[in-house]
Formats: sequence, C-alpha cells, structure tokens
Amino acid sequence: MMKFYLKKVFLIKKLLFLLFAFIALPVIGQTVVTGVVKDDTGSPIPGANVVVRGAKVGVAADIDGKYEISVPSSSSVLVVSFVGCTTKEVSVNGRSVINIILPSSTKELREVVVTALGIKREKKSLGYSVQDVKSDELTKAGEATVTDALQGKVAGLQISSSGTGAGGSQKIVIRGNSSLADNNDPLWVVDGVPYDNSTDTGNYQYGGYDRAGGAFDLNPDDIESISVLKGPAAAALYGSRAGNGVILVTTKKGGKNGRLGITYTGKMSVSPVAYSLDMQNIYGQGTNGVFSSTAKTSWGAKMDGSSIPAWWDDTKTTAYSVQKDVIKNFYNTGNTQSHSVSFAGGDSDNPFRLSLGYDYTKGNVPFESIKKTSFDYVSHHKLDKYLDVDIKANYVNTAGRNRPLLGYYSTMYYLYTMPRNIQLSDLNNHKFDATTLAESGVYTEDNWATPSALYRNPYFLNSQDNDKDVRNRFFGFAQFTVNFTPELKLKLKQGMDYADTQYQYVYKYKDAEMSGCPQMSMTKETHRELNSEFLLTYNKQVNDFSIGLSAGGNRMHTKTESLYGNSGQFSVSGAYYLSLGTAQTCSNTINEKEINSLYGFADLGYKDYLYLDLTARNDWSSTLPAANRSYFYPSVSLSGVVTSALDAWNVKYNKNIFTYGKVRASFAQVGKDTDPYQLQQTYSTSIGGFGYLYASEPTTLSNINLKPEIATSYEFGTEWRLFKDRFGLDFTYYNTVTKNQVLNIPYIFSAGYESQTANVGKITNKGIEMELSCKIINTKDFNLDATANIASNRTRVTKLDPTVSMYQFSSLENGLQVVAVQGDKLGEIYDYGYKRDVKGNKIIGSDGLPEKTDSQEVLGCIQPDFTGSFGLNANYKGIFLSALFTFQKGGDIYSFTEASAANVGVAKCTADRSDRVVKGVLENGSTNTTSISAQKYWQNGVTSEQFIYDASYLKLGELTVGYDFPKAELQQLTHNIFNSFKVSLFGSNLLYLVKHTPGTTPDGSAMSSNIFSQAVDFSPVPNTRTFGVSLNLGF
Amino acid sequence: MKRIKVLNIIAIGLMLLEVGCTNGFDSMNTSSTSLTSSSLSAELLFATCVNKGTSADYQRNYSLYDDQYSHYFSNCVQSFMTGNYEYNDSWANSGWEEFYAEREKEYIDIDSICGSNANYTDMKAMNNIWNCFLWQRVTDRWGDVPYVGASKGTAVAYNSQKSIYLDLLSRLSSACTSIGSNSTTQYSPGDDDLLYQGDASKWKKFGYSLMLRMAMRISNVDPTDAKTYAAQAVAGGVFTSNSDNAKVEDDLSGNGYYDYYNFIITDWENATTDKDFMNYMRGGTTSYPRANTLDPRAAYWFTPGNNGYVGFKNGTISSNYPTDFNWSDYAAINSTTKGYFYFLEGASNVSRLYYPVENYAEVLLLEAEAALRGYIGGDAQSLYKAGITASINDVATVSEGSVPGDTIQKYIDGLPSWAGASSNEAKLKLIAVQKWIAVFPNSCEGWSEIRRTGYPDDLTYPDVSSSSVVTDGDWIQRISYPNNEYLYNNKNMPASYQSTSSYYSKREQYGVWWSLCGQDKTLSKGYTATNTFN
Repeated sequence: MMKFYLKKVFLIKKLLFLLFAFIALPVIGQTVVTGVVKDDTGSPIPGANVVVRGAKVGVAADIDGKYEISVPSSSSVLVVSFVGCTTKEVSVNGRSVINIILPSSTKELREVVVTALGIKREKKSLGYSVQDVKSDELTKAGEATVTDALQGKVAGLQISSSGTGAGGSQKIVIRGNSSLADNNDPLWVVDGVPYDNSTDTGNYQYGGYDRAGGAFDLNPDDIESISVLKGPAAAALYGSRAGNGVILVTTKKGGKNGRLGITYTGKMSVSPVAYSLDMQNIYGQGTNGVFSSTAKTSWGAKMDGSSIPAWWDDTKTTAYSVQKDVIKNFYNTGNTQSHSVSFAGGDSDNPFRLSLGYDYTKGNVPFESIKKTSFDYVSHHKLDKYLDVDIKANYVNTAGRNRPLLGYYSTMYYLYTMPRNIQLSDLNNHKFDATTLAESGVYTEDNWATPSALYRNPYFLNSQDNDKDVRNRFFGFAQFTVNFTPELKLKLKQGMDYADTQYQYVYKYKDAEMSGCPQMSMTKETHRELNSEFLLTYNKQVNDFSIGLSAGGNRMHTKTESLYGNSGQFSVSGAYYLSLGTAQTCSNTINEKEINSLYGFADLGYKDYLYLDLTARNDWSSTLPAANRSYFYPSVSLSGVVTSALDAWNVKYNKNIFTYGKVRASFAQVGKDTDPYQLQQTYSTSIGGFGYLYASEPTTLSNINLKPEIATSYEFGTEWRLFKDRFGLDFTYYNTVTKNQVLNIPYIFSAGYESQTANVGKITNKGIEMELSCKIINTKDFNLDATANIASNRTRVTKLDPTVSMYQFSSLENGLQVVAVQGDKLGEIYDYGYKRDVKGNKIIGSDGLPEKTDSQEVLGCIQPDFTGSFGLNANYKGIFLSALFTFQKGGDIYSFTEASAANVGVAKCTADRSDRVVKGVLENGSTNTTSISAQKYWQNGVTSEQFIYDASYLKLGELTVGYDFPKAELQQLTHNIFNSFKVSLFGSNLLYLVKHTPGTTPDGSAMSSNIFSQAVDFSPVPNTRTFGVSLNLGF
Repeated sequence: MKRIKVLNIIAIGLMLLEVGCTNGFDSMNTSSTSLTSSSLSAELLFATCVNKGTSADYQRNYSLYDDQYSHYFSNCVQSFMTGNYEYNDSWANSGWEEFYAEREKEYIDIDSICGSNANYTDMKAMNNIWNCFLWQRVTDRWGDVPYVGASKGTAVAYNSQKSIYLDLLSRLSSACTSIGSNSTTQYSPGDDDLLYQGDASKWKKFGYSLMLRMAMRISNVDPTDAKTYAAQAVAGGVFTSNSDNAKVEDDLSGNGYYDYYNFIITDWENATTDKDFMNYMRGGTTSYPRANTLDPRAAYWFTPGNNGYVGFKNGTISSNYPTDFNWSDYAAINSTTKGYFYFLEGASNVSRLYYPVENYAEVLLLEAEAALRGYIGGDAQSLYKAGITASINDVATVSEGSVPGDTIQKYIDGLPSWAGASSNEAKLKLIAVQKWIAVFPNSCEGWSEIRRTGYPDDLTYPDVSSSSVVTDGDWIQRISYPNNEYLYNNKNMPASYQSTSSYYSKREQYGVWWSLCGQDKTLSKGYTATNTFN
C-alpha cells in the first residue's frame, strides 16, 4: 500500500518537473509590463484587475498592489479596475513599468488578512471567519508573551492562564474544547511554517513544574500581525493538526525604501502579588478553641500577642500574634525588563530585517527567573524575474531557574494551611534543624510542625529544590518561488523547527519526604519537525471572473528523543553532577511520526462580490494502521458582498447607512491522526532497586483498527459596516461535530486492562461569535473607538461509547473528578454534594452533621455561558489611552485552596467560631436541633459542594496611556534622526469589578492548563498585577 | 543560460523536498524503546511480580485498608476516611486494577514462557505458587471475583470464593508435587527471585505453608477440604525454621521504590500505631488477661511515644481528638539501628524492611489450630508455644538483637492459661490472638483472621462516617467491588450486586464466604457468632 503511494509521489514529482521545464520554455522572452496599483491615499490595492483591452484575460495585483502582465504589443492598453474605484485605461506606450493610481471611495473594502499556507487574501472574499490582530494592538500593554497579548482580542479565542506565575503554561482554545483527550491546542504557524507550541508542563497534583509552550519563544516585537483561523474551513489546508484552528503569525519584514531603519523597544514592569485567599485573622494554632503548640490547625484560641514557646527551641519564646500578610510577604514583587532592537533595510526587491531581543523576568517566587534571548533574521531576494527566495532564521534561548514546585506538596499549599500565628522570619531563620546539624553536620529540615508531607517549611523547600531548564530553539525556512509567468508560480519550501531542552533538578539536602536525597536528575530532549512542501498556483482574470488554482503537497516529519539520567543519592554534599551519584540510572524514549499530504484548492471570484473557495486534502499518517492511514477531507466556502452586488445590479440604497455588507457560509471537514505507537502492545522496562531489570505489563489494550478522527463543521456569518464605517458588526454562527476521537477509555479491569484505545465519541460544539466596533468620536485631532468581542460556545458530549457513558479527565486526591458524561456538557465537576430531601432541605445526621449524597453527582461545569472583552481607545493629537475589560459569565470552579484552608481553620469562612445548628432536617423529616462546633462543621460537615464557586468575572485586563509623537513633526524636529517616538505606561490584570471566588481569582488559579486543572482553584502561586513603562524609538 | 539557471533552481527545490524524506514510513510506528512479548524472559517479569505483588502502591493497596482494619496502624489524616469505613473508589480500585491488569498478566506471560519445557518445571511451579498467594489476597479482600479466564482481554463471569479456594488448593498441590520432580537441569531466575534467590526447594516449603494457611481459612465453612489439605500440607513439608520465612526485602536505593512503612508512618505522618495492638503489647486486657509486662517484641517493633507504648484509636474524627493531642504522644515504628523497621538510605543501602508474606511462627500457629481441630497429629499447646517463641526470636533476629529464652518463657507464662481454656473455642482464641501478633505487620493476614475467627474480641470500633454503608454497630467485612466493575462488567457481577441500589448499599458490612458471620451476612461488634468445630 505504502510503497505504491511512495512510487506515486515520485512519479508525480517527475511529471511536475518535466511540466515546469516545458512551460518555462515558451514564456521566456515575452513582453512584460510590471507596476504597482495604488489608491489616491497611496495605499496599494491588492486584487486590482489589470486586463489588456480587447483580451479576455488579465491578472490580479498581488498583496502589495504589484502586478505583472504579458502584453501582445507595445501599443496595448491596460484596463485597470477595482470595486469602489474609478476604472482607468492606460496605454503601454513601450513602457515596461507602469504605476497606476485608482481613486477610491471606501478603503476598508480592501482589508487584507493572511490565510492558510500564508496566502494573503482580501477579507471580503473569505467565506469563513478570520480575525486578525495587528502589531500595535499586540504590544500595546507591554505583555511579555504573544499569548498574553492575544488575551481578549479575538472573539471565541479563550486563553486560560495557569496560576503558575511567570513562564507558566497557557491553554488556548478556539471555539471551545472539542477533544476529550484534552488536545485542544490550535496549530501555530509562523510565516507559513508550523511552530511547535506543545506544552511540556510535566506537572500534576503531586508535584512538578509548569512551563509555557513553545509560543513563549516568540518575541512580540517581531510580529507584524496574527490571524486567527477559527473554523475548519479556514484551517482545512493545514490538515490534521488544524482541527482546533490555527494561529497564523506573520513576522515583520524588512524595509523597502533602501534606508536602514533602526527601532528600539524597551519595557520595564513590576508585578506585585495582588490576589490570594481570604484568611481569618483572629484564631491561632490549636484545637477546639484552645491554644496548643503541637496542633497542626488554627482552631485554637484568639491570638492575643502573648508569649508562646518557640517551635524550634523550647527554651525560647515567640509571639502568639496574627501574621496577616504571610503570602504577600513570602513572595517577591516580580519584575520584567525587555529590550528589542531591530534593523530593517534593503530595497523593495531585497528587503531584510534583523532583530535582537532580550527579556529578563524575576519571578514572584524567591530565586525564580526566566531569561530569553532571541535573534531573528528574515530576508527576501528577488534573484531575477523568475525567481524569488525568502529566508528566515530564528534562534531563541530560554532559560528558567527555580520555577515554582506545584501541587499538594508546594510552597503555596504550606503557606495557606499554616496556623495564622506562625511567623515567616522564624521559618526562615530556623529552616535547618540545628540539633541534627550540630550532631552530624547534615542539613535537614526544621519546621513549625515536624516536617512531613503535609507540613513543610517553605524556606527549606526553596533552598532544597533547585531546578533549571534551558531551551535552544532554531526555527527557519528557505522558500523558492519560481515565477514561470505572471499567472503561474511554484513555491518550494523547506521549514525546520528544532529545539533541544535540558531540565535539571537538584535536591541539595537530605529530605524526609523524598527517598535518596541529596540527588539530581537531568533530562535532555530534542524535538525536530521538518516540513517540506511545494505549491503550484495559477491565477487568471477572465472577464468578470477571477480564478485561482493551486495544488501542493507537504511532508511533515517529527521526532522527539529524550534521555534521562538520575544520580541516585549523593554520598558527599556540595557537588552535584550525575556521575557522583551512588545509584545512577538512565532511560531514553523516542517518538517519531510522519504525515504526507497532497492538496488542491480553487478560489473563484465573480465581479468582486461573489467568491467561492474549494479545498481538498488527503493525508497519509504513519500513526494509523495501513488500512486506515489515508484520509480525505474537503471544504467549500462562499462569500457574497451584498453592497457590491447591489452596486453591480444598480440597486439604489443608502450608502451612508449601509456602507458595506457581506454574508458568508462554509462547510468543511478536517481529519486528524493520533500519537505514535498506539497500535502495538509493548512492555516497558526499568531498573529496580536491587539492580535487577524488570518489565511492566501494558495496561492499555491497543487497537489495531484505529481510524482517523473527523471534524465536520459548518459556519454562517455576516459582516456589516454602517453609517460610513461608524459601526461595524461581524457575526458568526458555527456548528462542529467531532467524531471518532482516539481516546483511552476505561476497560473492564478484571479483563486485564485499565483502559483501551478506541475511536469514540461525538462532540458537538455550537456557538456564536460577535465583534462590534464603533467610532464614537472621529475628528482630525480626537478619536474615540470602542470595540467588543463576545463569544458563546456550548460543547456537548453527544455520544461517548457503547461501553462507557462517562469519561474522566482526572481527579483530585479527595475524589473530586472532572468528567465528560454522555448527553451532558463537557467538563463537569463531579463529586459528593449535600444530601437533600425532595423540598431541597439538607439532610442532617443524628450527629448534627450534614450528610453526603450517596454517590458523586454533578456539582458544576467549567464551561462559561459566554466570554468576551470590551475595549476603549482614545487618541488626541498623539496622546492615547486604551482600556481593555475582559469578562466571563457562568462556569464553575472548585476552590481546593479554600477547602484545604477551611479544614485547618485558616480560611476567612471559618472566622465565625460559634456553635451552630446546621439548617436542615433529619432523615425522619424533623428539623435538626443538634448543635455542633465550628471546627466539627468545617472538618467533618462540609462536602465539595461547599467550595464550588461561580467563575464569572469582569476585570480591567489592560490599561495603557501614552504618547506617540506625530511622525512629521518628529522628523522635522530631529532633522530626520528619529522616525518614531512612542512612550507609554501600561498595566495589566489590574482590577476585578466582578468576582465570586474567595480572594483567589477564577481565571488564574489553576495548577496547569489542562481541562481538569481549569476546574480547580489550586492557587499554585499568588496572582499578580502588572505595571510598566514602554518606550519605542525609531531611527 | 537563464534556462539552465531556472532548471537548476527547480532541481534544488525538489532536492530540498527530499531532505524530509524518510524511508521507514511503514516501520516508523513501532516503538524502539520498549519490548514486545517475543523478547520477554521469565525473570524480567517474575522480579516485577514478586516485588510489586507485595509493595506496589502500598498506601492505597494496604495502608488505607488492611493496615487499619487489622488494627495494626491507625489513620492520621482526617480526609482519609477509609478508617471510618468510607468507600473511596480511587483508592479501593487500585489493588484490584493492579492485580488484574499487571500481576495476573505477569503470571500468564511467565506461564506461557515456561510452556511445557521440561527445564522450566520448577519455574512454572514457583510462578503458580506466587500466583496462588496473590489470588488468596484478592478473594479474601473482595469475596467472589472473576477468576477463571480473568485478565485475558475479555470480560468473564465471577466465580464463587469457594470454587476459587478449592482451585487454588489444588493448584498448590500440583505445583508443590512438581518441584524437584524433573531431573533435567532447571532454569533458575537467580537473584531475580526476590523470595528465595532461585532455591526451588524453599518454594516447595512455601507452597505447602500457603496450602496450610488456605486450608485453615476455610475450616469453619468446609472442614472436609480443610482437613484434607491441612494434612497434605504438613505431610508435604511446611516451614521448619525462621530461615524459611517468605518475605520481600524492601529496596531503599531510591530507584522508584519507597520504604513505605517509614514514609507513610514516620515521614508523611499519614498513619501511626493503633490503640488496640499497643494495648496487647503493653499487657493484658479485660478479654485477654495476661501479666502486665511489655511484649518482648514491642521494643523491636516500636519506640514509645510521650505517653509510652500507647497507640491512637483508628477512625477518630478530629473533633473527638483529645485536646492538646500530639502524634508524638503515641508510639512510633522503631526505625532505630536496633529496630525492626530500621532503614538507612543511600550508598550503604542497609535495609531491614520486608514486606511480609508468610513466616514460620504463623505456620506453627496454623498447625496448632489444625491439631486442635484434629486435622493433623501433634500437640496443639506445644505448637502454640513454639509459634510464640519462633515469632519473638524472628523479630529479635531481624532487628539484629536477641531475646533470652527465659524472657520468652516468662512472657508465655504470663499469658492466659492454656489449661484454663476450657473449650476448643477458648483455645482457638489463644492461638488466634497470638497469631494476630505474630503475623504483624502482615495486615492482610491480620484482618482476614479477625474476620474468620472473631479474635481478638475487644477491638475498638471507629467513629463510623455517616456516609459509610456500614451500619453503626457492624464490623467492616470486605472491600467493595470497584466502580469500574459495576460500570463496565455489571452483567457478570453476582446478581445481588447488579442493581444500582444494591451495588451502593451492599458493601463493606457483608461477610465473604469464610467469614465468621457467614457470606453476605453482617457481624456486630457484640460478636454473636462462634467458630465451628467438628
């Protein structure tokens, strides 16, 4: 089967080669006219039609307004036209370069966006939703990462940050979660080449570290624009990996005026701790209202400042007084500085841009830092009229140190469960056990409670855990464009994304909670993805029809190799390297896959108001069984510009009201393969402690008949601009059904397997997206614009599997699960609640405690009703102010943070210590009258239901104020030394106007970025506000 | 000239495409960093099966259940409600899942590697004996379970505990007979046999000792088979000294295994010593009056807390904790250099930690009961005394210490009088209480024998959670079938567990086949049932 295929590809390549050579012959030597079509404001007009009078065919100007046409004689006449512009006729008169100006009326018509495979298209011609964000908007509030910068700027793009501080992971979901395997990440593409954003978090509830995905490596200052392709129709050409949408990043290109432009952008910001759990400030260490120096809880007496025995030395005392700001005081104020210098030069045929970036972030966690150094080079070379070459080379070095350790056994957990009278200075001064140190010279932990998994000294942990990671990333491509004729082009591209990452953990001291310390481990991982592609395009204007035909192919090969080493325990201290360990072990893994694809597409346009796009793609994936590895999927989309059509039909309507109107519809399918090695059962091996090797049975039943996953979607949308562009509206409705997801579903344990790999499920995502814009004030000196993005998505698990009606994403140690239940919304929080009678009264046991439900039930769901943002931009003579509010309505979150703190009497909800009679009825229906203590209630009477919160919020996400020196004045003032000067003050995550969680934030308190984590407020590190200043200087 | 240039460029472009080409498209999807079944060897799996069979996931598999229900250890973490007889599926299903998805499959794979190869006769028998040991634990904890054809990829019916016991006994019989029966050179797993380093003759003794354990377990409910197998076991040759003891050494080198006792109890402070066991260590109780001297084993097993050799009552809810309580008030496991739980991490890797499987003392006490019941010859009383002596000597030896003979004798003399025990029931109580102590910390045996014999009969009842299905006043009798079975294998479950209401209500309070209370019956803390002698 596969041999056949390879042969076929080879044959096709050979044929193409001959074909090109053949075509190339006759076109050489024809008379060619080139030029640029611009409007009366000097902006190029992409897509302007250039036709030779009398001939039926013509060409369309490219994205820069450039055209190139073969003319039969030197006296031919060119007819240049574009919708909304006056048509012009120009005689060639023997010239080879003719630049044309077409007076225009509405320039918005020619909004250009980047679409799949990097093809620039006029937005009006697209039958699907694409939203783009320009560089100004991206870098306005000084965000350090591209994902931060995208927050709130695209309807239906939901970015959830984990609460793991600087450099933590972020989950980006376009149009809701559709994958039960929690693989909802969109594909990132930089200048047409896939860019790995897989998140290597490696953390889970019992520990680990959370790291941002690869998109962290992008320097926001290098980005020209980002297009978000939301639906399958937009993304179909990217195949398998684009099922969750595509984020297309276009980086800045070089200068075109032959002058070297130098730009410097610098940013400095500080991030103080701003949001953490509300605590009670009255009662200290003890139980049942009595102080006890040995108690682990804060259920003791009122803190009155009296002297109590010091925990580290019975002969000393310390004060029994409240420590209000333990969390604020433990953590640093983080700060970030970033500098970016770019050089842009070259002429319009050979532009280049070189940039250097440096970012340094000092995290909130003591000793935490992240450093990023980047280099980016991009150039275009027009070798001759037949050949263009594009080159990009990018190198990024990202180094993290002392990232926070997460999970149950994290610093933050110990801080917010500690009795309220424990002093940080005491913990810091006595983190090492003085007695052990004196006796044996060994550094061991000391703490206010005997160190154990639940009670640890955060300062000891900080000294103990010493982690660092370094990633070297090389990304780039070489692209050859062969222009056979102005209409026929062949693009050949080879892209590479390579990263090697090294993680190192050193545990410097003996540790009661971890065996074999001191020790270290190191992992070295390399990831390489190669994309080789060709694309043949043919564009032609025939009378009123524009025709674009393309055919292409891609080979994607990816390989990830990792090597892990562990030292085992060190017998000496002070030096840390692998071969010093006494029980060294190592292991390696390799993951490799390849997808071969062939695709074709057609863009057909009629009279600038009706557009039809067709795409077809076939993939062959190495990860699927031979019989199912080939899969085909098509898309079709249609766009109609109502206003232009009305013009063409000479229908009168009020253009002052209906300036622009468009309707669009699309249908698409996208196929998706799976991870490598899912088809075969294998035994993993590792070394046991006695030096023997042991093998482990496979616990997942593999499936040799796996099929590709298929997402089928349709989408309708409409776009309007009213009152001479005063108001804009873009509305989309979509419906996507994802079938045959490859998933490990639970299996019958007694049949020998924990799970089986199967094609299961039918997930339906339905939703609407709306973008609104309004120019409230629009005068020469003063502009005030408002924009809003609103999206509502509902993901439903229509069908799971005949044998499995519930799928669990993960569960907390206490049993709380996040699940997908057949027929329900995806992402439900599932645990024991309060048992209630038919009237809804809580059932109370004879002991006065509320009873739990008999079995776990749905307590909430992570899905919000809608999300969105609201932005205001004002500009007065270069002084600008912008504010971005983001919001979420609905959705639930379980506060593990509060549940843990309430149990030990630390949370604010436990401040009332009076005895209580829980409102409810006994099993026999009579009213409960049994009184219980506050401690008994919070320790034994509450269920998970108690800590479920509405995750709705409204916050001032970004605020920027600044001054952009008007360019002409600046140049005059500085004798053309400065081209641009912009300075701004920015703030982010500033203020929650609405929020229901107890001090913590509903949108930044997760431990990681997966579906499960998003349902749980785990407060890995406290959330911050950021304030900063940014400076942009252009020479 | 130009034409050549264009053609060259095209050629370069096509060559570039080839850069990404790989030849192994068809073979690419085979992992090169793990084994397939054809490359397995018996010892690779046997090491895993023996090690993990006793230690894997010790906390969820044993510490939260058997360790507490045997009244050896008590829970220290409020949210761990298993001590209050609450069900927690994610913990309870762990032992079940590991057995069926890993241990049983390891057995099947090793058995298939051995096949009918004459060189593998002993290996095949050792594999069978270990498998029988694991199966008994499974059925003792859950009762009727899927047995015939389990772990082979498809769902199978549940078998009655009786049929499982009889099959295990018969398999043990064949396995023990076959060891040493083949004169060809026998394959040996060597050091990968973590129990006896490949000494098949010791496996034979272990096989018969296990047979004796199983036989005595069913003595109340199937005395005929119990007698047959008890007699066969003793005739075949059970353990004859402490050097025969079956135990799996713990690994402390930090390569993925933990010393769970020290971690769970000392370092994580998740568990501590139990009030009941410590009561018996300190001296007599009302129900078991003995001289008020410290058990000679106590100082090896435990270090006293601030309150001396006192344990904490398992299943206490925190609002019932004594004011000013402190875990250090209670006795801890002895991890000092002269302690039974001593361990030293790292380079020296000195380990004295063992996961108990079966010891000589238990065998002697089983024999004492067998003699009492008339299954075998011999004097019950002297076997009983020998059992106590063997246990004390073993604990002392493991702890690198010793107990003088007269100290042992003094301890035995201080015990409730054998002669004064007027009935078989009374004598059985003496044997059972001593066995409960002698098998410590083998909590699977400890809990099973409490359920079978009803002794010790003055154990402390926990604060039962209102969310537990165990009726206030009933003892916990088993572990519930995991939700996984209810959800995905419902039709094969015993009929009385198939409906939602019965699955959620018929749980931990109902006895297994050999329980003193009888199958699917309950036993109250008032101990209404007695053992059957005939």
